[in-house]
Formats: sequence, structure tokens, C-alpha cells
Amino acid sequence: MAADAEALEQVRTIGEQYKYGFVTDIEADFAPKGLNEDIVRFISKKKEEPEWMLEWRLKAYRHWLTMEEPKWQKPQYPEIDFQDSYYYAAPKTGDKPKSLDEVDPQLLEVYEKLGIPLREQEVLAGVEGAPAVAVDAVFDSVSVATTYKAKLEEQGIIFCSISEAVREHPELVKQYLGSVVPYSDNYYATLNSAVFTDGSFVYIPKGKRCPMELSTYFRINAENTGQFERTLIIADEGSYVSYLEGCTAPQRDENQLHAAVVELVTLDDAEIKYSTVQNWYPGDEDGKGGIYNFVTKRAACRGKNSKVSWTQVETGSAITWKYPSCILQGDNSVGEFYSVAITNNAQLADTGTKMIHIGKNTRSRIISKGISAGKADQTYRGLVRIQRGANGARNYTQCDSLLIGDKCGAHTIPYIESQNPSAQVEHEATTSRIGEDQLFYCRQRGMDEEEAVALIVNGFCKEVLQTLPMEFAVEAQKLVGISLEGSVG
Amino acid sequence: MALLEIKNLHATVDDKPILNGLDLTIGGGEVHAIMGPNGSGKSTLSYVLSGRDGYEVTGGEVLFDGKNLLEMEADERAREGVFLAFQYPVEIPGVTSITFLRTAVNAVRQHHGESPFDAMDFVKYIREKAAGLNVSDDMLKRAVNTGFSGGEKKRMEILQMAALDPKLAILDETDSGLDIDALKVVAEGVNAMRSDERGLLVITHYQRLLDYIVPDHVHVLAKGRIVKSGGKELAHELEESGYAEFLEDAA
Amino acid sequence: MPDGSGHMQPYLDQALEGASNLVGSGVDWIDALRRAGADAYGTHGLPKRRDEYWRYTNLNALADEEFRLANGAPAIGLPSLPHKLVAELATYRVVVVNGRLRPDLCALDGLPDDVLVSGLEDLMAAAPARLEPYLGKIIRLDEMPMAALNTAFLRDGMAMFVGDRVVLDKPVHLISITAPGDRPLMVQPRHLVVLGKNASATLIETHITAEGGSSFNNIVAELHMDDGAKLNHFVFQEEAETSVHLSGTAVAMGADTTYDSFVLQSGGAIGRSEIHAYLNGTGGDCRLDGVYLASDKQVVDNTTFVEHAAPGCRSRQVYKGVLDGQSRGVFQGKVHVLRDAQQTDGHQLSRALLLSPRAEIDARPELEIYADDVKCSHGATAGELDDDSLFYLLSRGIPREDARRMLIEAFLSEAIAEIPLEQVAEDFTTHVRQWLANNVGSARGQD
Ligand SMILES: Nc1ncnc2c1ncn2[C@@H]1O[C@H](COP(=O)(O)OP(=O)(O)O)[C@@H](O)[C@H]1O
Ligand SMILES: [Mg+2]
Repeated sequence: MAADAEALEQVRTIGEQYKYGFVTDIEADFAPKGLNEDIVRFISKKKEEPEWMLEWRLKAYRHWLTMEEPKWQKPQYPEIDFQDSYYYAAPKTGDKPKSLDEVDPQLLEVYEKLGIPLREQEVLAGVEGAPAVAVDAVFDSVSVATTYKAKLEEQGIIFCSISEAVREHPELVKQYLGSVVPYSDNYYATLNSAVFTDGSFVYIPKGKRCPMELSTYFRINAENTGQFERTLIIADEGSYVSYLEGCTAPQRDENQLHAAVVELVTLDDAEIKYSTVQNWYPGDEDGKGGIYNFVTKRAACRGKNSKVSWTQVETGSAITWKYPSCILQGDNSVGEFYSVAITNNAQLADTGTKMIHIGKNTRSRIISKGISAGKADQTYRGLVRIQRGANGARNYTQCDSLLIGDKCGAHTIPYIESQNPSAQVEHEATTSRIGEDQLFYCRQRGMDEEEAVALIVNGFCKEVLQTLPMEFAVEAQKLVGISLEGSVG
Repeated sequence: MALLEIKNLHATVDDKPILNGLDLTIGGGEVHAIMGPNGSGKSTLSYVLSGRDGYEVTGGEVLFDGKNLLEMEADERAREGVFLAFQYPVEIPGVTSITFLRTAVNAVRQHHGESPFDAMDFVKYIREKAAGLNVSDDMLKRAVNTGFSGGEKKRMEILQMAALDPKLAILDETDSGLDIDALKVVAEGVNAMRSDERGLLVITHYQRLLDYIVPDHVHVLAKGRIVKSGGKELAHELEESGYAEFLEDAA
Repeated sequence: MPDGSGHMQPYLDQALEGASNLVGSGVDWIDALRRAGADAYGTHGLPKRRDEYWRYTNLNALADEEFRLANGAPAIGLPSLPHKLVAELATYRVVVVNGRLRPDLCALDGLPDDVLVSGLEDLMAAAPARLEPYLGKIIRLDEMPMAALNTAFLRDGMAMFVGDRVVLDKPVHLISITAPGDRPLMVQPRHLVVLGKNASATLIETHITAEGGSSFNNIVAELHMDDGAKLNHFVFQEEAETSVHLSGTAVAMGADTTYDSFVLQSGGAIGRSEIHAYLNGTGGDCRLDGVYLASDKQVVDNTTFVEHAAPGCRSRQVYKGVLDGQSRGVFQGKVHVLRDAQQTDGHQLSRALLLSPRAEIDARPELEIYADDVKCSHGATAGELDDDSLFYLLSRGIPREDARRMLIEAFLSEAIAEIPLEQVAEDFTTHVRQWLANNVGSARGQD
């Protein structure tokens, strides 16, 4: 309850609608606008990549040229002019700094303003007593700082930018990159494979529990720039890691594309907990500007008894389009998807998950809470597939939508495919509006309507929010309130 | 020859050992009570005896009327005369109680070479049994246990026992969730079934039920084996002292 | 009407060939309707896997083999019907063989005043103006490519008009027989039902196949319900295992109407029942229930679209299926609530039992909601029989196969309990038992 009270406090005190909308005037190094093989080579060269990496990018690029932009999703958007965008933008600071003291103070200020601790003794803003978090900070196309690297290295844990991993750990990257999301997977993942710029790489060795939360903080700053980050996390046998991802962008009138790919691999008895608080700039009330967040996230639970848990709180972006998924190959492996998606004003979202049961006794659980307000439109789309050999598989899906106001929409499209009689699949979904009696009860106790809505919606989402690591849960609760500002009255 | 002989029985659930060398012999006409703390394996014993899937016997043997009980399928055991009154009777929407009862009774009758009841005769047969247990025609028309109160479910269990006329009846916490009046009705139903041939195994956590169904022997189950046996006075001792000493002793 | 690449869609040539000789040809609106059907189908073609509502039901069989349009109705007599109790009901009987009305087999004596039951082609010849306000008015050709194909072939079937306030004393039983010869046969029947204000009727459809080769039966029914009308609609799909049975039903519901539909599908190599219900007036109440039983390599598809276009309507759907052998069940259901349809109450349930390790169920219950004051939900389950229930039955001495049958029957009973006509419900139960006896172990126990 304390956290709820804090969320309310935050709703009360926050004046602006999107507090991360500032632009930092920092000189940037751009690749020429547009997309062609030379740009792909340029990016690869900038990153000092080996030949095999360049070849892989080119293969993806050539394949991408043969593909058509998909149109089956619910949110439709004007055609993207892929030639009218920058594919590489980096703050002009010379070489990557060796230590934090060498980082451009202006950049440090950005992260300070965002509440992201880049000094190792600091903790996430506003959360006293929270445990240390290691952070990889990605600014436009490059990783500007990674904290606690040395401390993690002592345990054999690799946490660095993907560019660095390509250079320093090519054997791991070669083995796993594209092994979960192949370069030819889908239009945006293929584009990402050709032009990805940065992102994080994590390897947890056998039997190690990562002693702290790992976190990447993505920031788009430059104008007309697409962000194409690539994240790869490998949890070797018996290991465990909890990984957090946050993102913001300045307030701009034009749309910017963010097309990331995240690949997770768990081997026997390993577990990855992946949490996202997505707060890209959503555009203004009339739908002008905002990020197109078209992301491919997929986990391969290769090992037996392995587990991947996705938690996402999606409040930002003009359009969110993503389905963090689990391929449950290992016997007894477990996939979880917990999602809160809030769309307000003119935001659109088409999100959900896919759970593919291949191994025996595999289990999946999907809890999705969608809140739609203003003129927003939101779709939950999910696939649960039980393959022939998945004896004893279990799925439980609960999918609830809440509508606030009579101009928004909420849609639920589950696909349920079962080929095994010993599997049990159970799906439930409801759509309703916020309870008038609940609202009245809160208001009768002295809350104004916005406070009451924030409180009720936080309650509606509780099951999901409580799966977040503590540091994120508080922030997420605040976001729930903020995202719904102006949705009532 | 005893009606039921359990020798050094070991059983696991999900590879977890629950019964660890249990011995128990019940003769015809005897009433045995098993008492024990929660989680000691009382329900597990009842499921192992009635043949539920997932309860794996890893050692020992069980003879029922001299036959190897463990070799039989669950329905075969029931037709041979093993009856279990469930701690949590199962709801079966869509199957009326009367159809369910008739199917079961006829399966047992045919097993013993008797002719099955037709619908009319069965109604007569079951009404007689139901009267004493306060089970109305209306209850018989409703789906099995579906929407029944706790007391109704337990009365339905006893009615099934009366209708199936088993040689051995195992009652798993039949007293749980019953108020004193309902308990009396159930206990009277059980006592009416006491006979020289029939064996009764009454599983309970509290001594209260045993004031109404007076046992010949009382056993204490802890950590998967019988740790103490005695006469009916043992139940009263347990009421005073609780189970704490057995939990330590058995460790 | 070739598609963009100049390619002629399968079957369109057959439709275009005969069109100018058909009854109604030369009547502007009928010509226009047939052309609109041909255009819509010509643009779309046979549904493919990438069509959202056809991803689970593959119509390659129709492309691989050329089915020829039936040439008149063969002179077969009325065969015995698979549903004895339904056959024994006192009904008005309409018989359609290979898509053509067979007046000699119909029994329509004693129809009340202000009720017309006739062949569609006869009415098209005699009084096309009577059909004009209704025929082709509620089928959305662009959303239903197979109904578009049927419209291109528009010719014969049953037309039924029930006047205002008339309560039909007996059900109308539409018996639809496909009688293939030795060549693959295609039939394109078209039915129209119009209920006036506060009229009330019961319509039973039985679909069967006579001896012969393979067949493709593409049916469309349009049901118009004026304010306050009430229609009970039962469909028994019992076609042969050599038959592709596709049925598209569209029902337009006025204010305070009640449409209660129950579909049993246990026949066909492919059986698809597609129902589009449009709740256009306030206070409408729509019930769509169904049971499907499939074995061998059957594909049984139930697809529903319920559109809440007016406030204060209610829709309820319960579909239950039992799948054995290598069969596949498909349930796709969409509840679409438009912006103004406040106070909508919509519920959908799909449950499937898989009896065999080779069987499959694909379900896609869908909610698309644009009004906020709604209560909508759906549920879907798939799996085998509940272990606890099975053990409870076994522990009472009931043999395993009997126990399984009892539980399957109980599983279906929730849907069957919704059947308002007692004989029909009884017939269903008998039918289900028979099917179970044939498919789930040996028959025993029970009555
Ligand atoms: N299906 C099951 N799966 C896993 N553990 C079980 C299962 N059933 C019982 N157990 C465990 O077995 C032990 C004995 O349970 P039970 O026989 O129900 O005890 P009692 O009836 O004496 O309270 C407990 O530790 C319980 O948790
Ligand atoms: Mg117990």
C-alpha cells in the first residue's frame, strides 16, 4: 500500500505530461542519411567489426530488400521512408571513455536528469536502500558507459555492449547471435540485423547467480534517427540473472523508429528474468510525433528445467508492436509473460506473446492487463501452441482489458493451438470499464477522479507490477498514474 | 485371514516419499481409526489403497481378502469392495447423482454376477438408503456434488457407501467441515453399516468423530508410518497431548 | 472476372457460363447481385491460409479437384434421416436436393395465413419484387468469399416469409440432400428467411449426403428478423465423409429480437459453419451454441461473428467439441462491439476435449471492443478428461471406458442443456451416445 500512496503523490506533484521529453544539445557524429550497403559497411567499420559480422549484416540487408512491410497488425501507420533517416548517430566524444571521469559531463547530466545512476556508488533515483544495479547506458547508437564491469568480471560474468562483445567474445556472439531470432525472421528484425548499432551483451557462466540486477538504459536523442539495438543474453547451465531495460526519448514532432531485437537463451536449469519499463515519447495528445516501437523479443528455453520470465510495463511510444515470446524446448521449461500496457490519447499498441510448447511438461503463464484511454486503441494478440510431443504441457492465460472513456478501443485476439491431449490449456479474458462504484467509493473518501483512477488501475495491474524488481516497481506505479493523466473528466 | 493386510508399505508422490514402511491389519467387523497431524500421509494412504494415479508404491504389499490389491485398477478395487469416502468429494457437472449412483451400483452388482437394477427398481432401492441420511430426491437429481454444501457432500459420500455395500470402507476426514448435527447424521449412517464382515478405517485429525463412531483400535500416523497403536482411549490421550511428541520422535 | 493478374478464379467460369440463362436474368437487381458476388469472389478467390479467418481450414481440396455444378435434382426419394426423434416431429417439410427444391417431397399443408414457404427460384420467377428488399441484403460479400461465390451462382433454395405477429405452430424442417453421381459434384443452395414484427418460428436444417462420390456443398442462408421476432434455429450437419460442407449464415436482428441457434456438426471431410449475427436494434438477444464430434481425418470448423451495433444487446456462445482420431476442430469467434453499442453483454466459451494423441484443436476467440460500458468475456480450454473426476468414478467401481463416456457426455451436456426443444435435445443426447459408442471403446452400461 505504501507504494500506492507514493504513486498518488507522484501523480499529484508531476506537472508536465512527459518529463523525459527534453533534448540534449550534444554534438553528434552521423552517418549520411539513408540506407544502402555502404551504410551497413560504415556501421560495421565504425564498430571495428570482424569480417564475419559484416557478412552477416550484408546477408540480412540483402534479404531485407526482398521483404514486404507487414500489414496484418491492427495499428496502421503511414509508410516509413527508410531513406529519410539516420542509421548511425553517436555523441562526438572520441573514443569510448575508459572510466566515468572521461565521459562527457553533458552526457552524465542527461542520465542524472533521467535518474539513471552511472556512478557505481549511486543507486537508481529515488529508491533509498535499493541494491546496486549495473547499468549499460546506450545513447542513440552507442553504449556510453557500462558500470560494475570489473566487479562482475571477477565472477566470470560478461556484461558489456554488444559492439564490444563482437570484438572481445566473438565465439559466444557467433554461436548465439541470430540463433533465436534468425536474420530472416521478420521485416524489422531483418532490418535490425543489417544496421544494429548497439545494445547489451550478457553471459552468465555455469552455476552463477548474478549478484546484482543488470540494466540497460536506452535513450534516443538525435533527430531523424532510428535506434536499432540488439541485446543478447545467455544464461549457461544453472545460472540466474535479472535484467532490466528502460527507455526514453525527447519530445519531437516527427515519428522515430525504434526496431530492436532481443534474444535470450537459457540452458539446463538456468533462469532469466527480463523486465522492461518502456516509456518512449508517446507523441502529443493529437498523435503528433512519438516513437514507433517495433521490437522482436524472443527467448529460447533450450535446457531442461530452464525458465524465462518477461515482464513489461508499456506506457510510452506512439505505436507499440511487439510479442516477447518463449520457445519452450527443454523438458519442464517454463515461460512467463506479465504485461501492463497503457495507451492514452492517440497511442496504439498491438502486443502480447507467443508460447511455443515443444518439450514435455513445459509450462507457460500469461497475465496481460491492458488499459485504454483517450482515443487510444490497444490489441492483445497472443499465441499458445502445444506441439505434438509436449506431453503434460500446461498453459494458463488471463487477459483483462479496461476501458476509460468512450472513444478508445480494446481488442483481444488469442490463438490457441493444441496438438496434445495430455496438455491443458486454459484461457480467460474480460473487457470492462472502470467500476463506477469503485470510483465513487474512492471519491467519497476524498480522492479526486485522477487519483482514484490511478489507484484503481494500479490495483488492476498489481499482479503484474509485483513481478517487477523492487527498483522498477515503484517507478512503474508512478508511470501508471502519469500515463493516464487527462484521461478522465 | 484378515480382511486387509498392509505390510511395510512405501509410497511416493512426485518422487517425494510420503509413506515410509506402514504396517496395518484390519479384520472383518473391526473399526480402526488413524489419527495424525496434517501432512502425515493419511490421505495418501487412502489414495494408495484405492489406486489413484500418481501415488506410486515403491515397496511393501497390500492384501485384500488374500488378493494382491496393488495389482488391481482403481475401478476393480471398488468392485471388489474397497470404498473411499473422499476428504474432498469431486464435483462432476453434467452427471446427475442418480445416474452416477446407478451406474456404479450396477457395475458392482454385475461384477458379483447379479442382475443390474432397472431405472424404476433403482429409484426404490436408493430412496430407502437415502431416507436415513436426509438426502432428498432433489439432491439426487442434481449433478454429482455440484453446488452441494459441505454437509450435503459428506452425506452423499455415505449414501454411496450404503448403496455400494463395500467390504472395507475408508473414511477420510469425513468430519471436517461438519457442524455437530450434520456430524451425528453422518455418524449414524456409518454406524448403521457396522457389521461382522465389514472393516472400517476412519481417518481423522480430531477425536470428536470417534465419540460417535467408536473404534476398536486407534493408530497414530506420523511421517508416513504408524508410530503408536492402542485402544479407543488413545484418541482421548491425543486430544490432551497433541501430536508434537510424535513429530519429534519420528524424526 | 479474372483477378489482377488475369487469372480466372476456380469455379467462376462455371458461374459466369450459366448466368444469362437463369431465372431472374434480365431483372436489374438480380443481375447486379449475381455480378457483385462474382466480382467479390473474383477479387478474393478461394480462401487461403493467409486469410485471417481461414488459417485453420484448408480448402486445397477444392482447388485440386474440379467439382461440377449439379445439373438439376435427381429423382431420389426421401432417405431415412439420421435423427429419428427429429424426423418424427410434426413439422412443415421442405426438401432441397442438389440445391433445387423438390416440391414432390415437401409437406406444407396447413401453413397458417400470412406464411409463405416456397422455392427461391419459383418466387424469383413469380414475384421478384417480394425478394428484392431482402435477398443479398445482409451478406457482406467482401468478408465472406465463399458466400460471394454462392451469390454468383444464385438460383434456388428455400424462401420463407412469416408475417407480422404470426407464431408458427410447427417447426419448418429443411432437409438438404446432396446426391453426388460419379463425378465430383458441386451444389450452391441459397435460402432466405424473413420474419415479420413479433413473428416467431422454429427452423430445423438437416444436411445429409446420398450415396455416391465426392461433393462440395456451399450453402448460404440469410435470415431477416424484424423487431420483436423470435427464431429457434437447429442445424444438423451429417454429411458424408467424402463431402466438403461450407455453410454461411447471416442474420440481421431488429430491436428486441431473439435468435437462438444450435449447430451439431459430426459429418463431412470438412465441415464449416460460419454464422454472422448483426445486432442492429436495442434489446437483441443472440445465442449461438454448438457441439462438434469428429474422428478420423475430419476437419470441423465453427466460425462466428457477432456484431453489436446497437446498445443494450446480449450475446452468448458456447461451443463444445470432442475430437478423436486425427481430426481437427476449429473454433473462431469474434465479438465486435461498435462505438455506440453501450451496455453490451457478450460472452463466449469454447471448450474442446482431445481423445487421441493425433487430434488437434485450434481456437481463436476474439473480442474487438470500441464501447466502454460493456461486459465482455471469453474463455477457451483444451485438454483431456479431468483426472480427479475420472478417479472418482473409478473409485465407485465404474469401468474406465464407461467412466470416460459418462464424463464426455457430461462435458457436452452444458451445451445440450441450452436446447429449448425437448425432442431435439433428446435426439442430441442419443446421437452423442451413439457416436461415443462407436468411437470411445465398446458400448456398455447406460440404459
Ligand atoms: N499430489 C501431491 N503432490 C505433491 N505432494 C503431495 C501431493 N499430495 C500430497 N502431497 C504431500 O504429501 C504429504 C502428505 O499429504 P496427505 O496425505 O494429504 O496428508 P494428510 O492427509 O495426513 O494431511 C504432504 O506433505 C503433502 O504436501
Ligand atoms: Mg488429508
